Amino acid sequence: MTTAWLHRYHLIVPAAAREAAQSLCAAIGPGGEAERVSFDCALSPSGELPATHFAASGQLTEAMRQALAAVAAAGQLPPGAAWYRCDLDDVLVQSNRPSVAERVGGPFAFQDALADLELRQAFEPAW
Amino acid sequence: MSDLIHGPFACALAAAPLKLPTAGIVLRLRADRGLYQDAAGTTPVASNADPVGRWNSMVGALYGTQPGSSLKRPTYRTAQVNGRPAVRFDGTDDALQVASLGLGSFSMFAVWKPTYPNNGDNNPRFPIEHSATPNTNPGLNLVFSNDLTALHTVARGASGVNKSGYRTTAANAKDFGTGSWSVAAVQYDGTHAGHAAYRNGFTNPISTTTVSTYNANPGTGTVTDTLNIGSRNNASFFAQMDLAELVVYSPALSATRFKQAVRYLSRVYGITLT
Repeated sequence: MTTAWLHRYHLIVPAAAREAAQSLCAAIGPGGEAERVSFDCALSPSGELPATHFAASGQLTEAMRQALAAVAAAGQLPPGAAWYRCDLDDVLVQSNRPSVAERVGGPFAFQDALADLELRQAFEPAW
Repeated sequence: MSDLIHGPFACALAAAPLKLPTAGIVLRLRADRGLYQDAAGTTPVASNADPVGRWNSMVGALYGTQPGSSLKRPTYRTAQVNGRPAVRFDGTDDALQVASLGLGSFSMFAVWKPTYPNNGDNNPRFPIEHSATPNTNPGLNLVFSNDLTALHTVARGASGVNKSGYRTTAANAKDFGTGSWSVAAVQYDGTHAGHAAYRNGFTNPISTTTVSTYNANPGTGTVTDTLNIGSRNNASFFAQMDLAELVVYSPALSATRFKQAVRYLSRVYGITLT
């Protein structure tokens, strides 16, 4: 039996669009409002806070993918959103970023998305 | 092997199967049992790459859960170690939390394959943390630090004032292990001297350098708090790792039982002890 969660997405939005991205997750995710706690991976060009962007990375069902695609087709994605769709073997299938068009069909991990956007994970002091 | 007993009873004893000690287990998460796609535990995990929203303990009523976004759920992966499955944390935002785990003295064992640095950077990652920020709160953490060493800290007392902490040195190859499957084990008896971490063994601690002034004897007072698996507070420092099994005992095991647990897990998962 194959999983219903066929698509692995890396989603990155500017900090100003984080709330809109979380609302989108609440709209298309199976958990409804509980999905709003996504996009807690802080990013910035320097790796220092404050975050300039936030990311979420996870798997979507086909229904969720279609819902996301419909939002994108309607031009209603959060402003500045970048998305990368991979299969379960982490092969890039599609992206709204022309800069990675040549990488479709090849391996693509979250750090590749970061490299594409010239961003790094940003952290507060751990201690 | 030094613990073989010779004589007329040797055959019977040698044939006895090696078992995981059962007395004192407060949490046992194993990737082939008790996995559900949703946090409520209504839809079992059935296929490779299914999300894991809930992971029930094999002992007691505790469970790990990701109550929030489905994007933050780790995933179930079949046939990862000795034919057995694992739960994969992506190092971006995946995390599970076990609510209200009480720990006094403890022994903790993880069969895992961490990836560090993860996602291409050397920032600290928290594969395990019991209560947030042991700098100021009682708890424990296992950490991959941003200088590629590993450290573990236990704190007790008001504001976590009594701390015991060790780190590996950058030159010490016996860290918690990155990129390969290993049995990580932490023993804590309430004292700094009795606090040690091991990888694929039980004789030579991997970390012998005391962290800063963390050389107190925190004691065996019980701390009941959330056990975070894969992050700090489901919000940051996400660790990239495959986790096949996590077993926690409180109070801590005896030395004999500690070795028994390490041997058992190494045998089940086909990991060579050093």
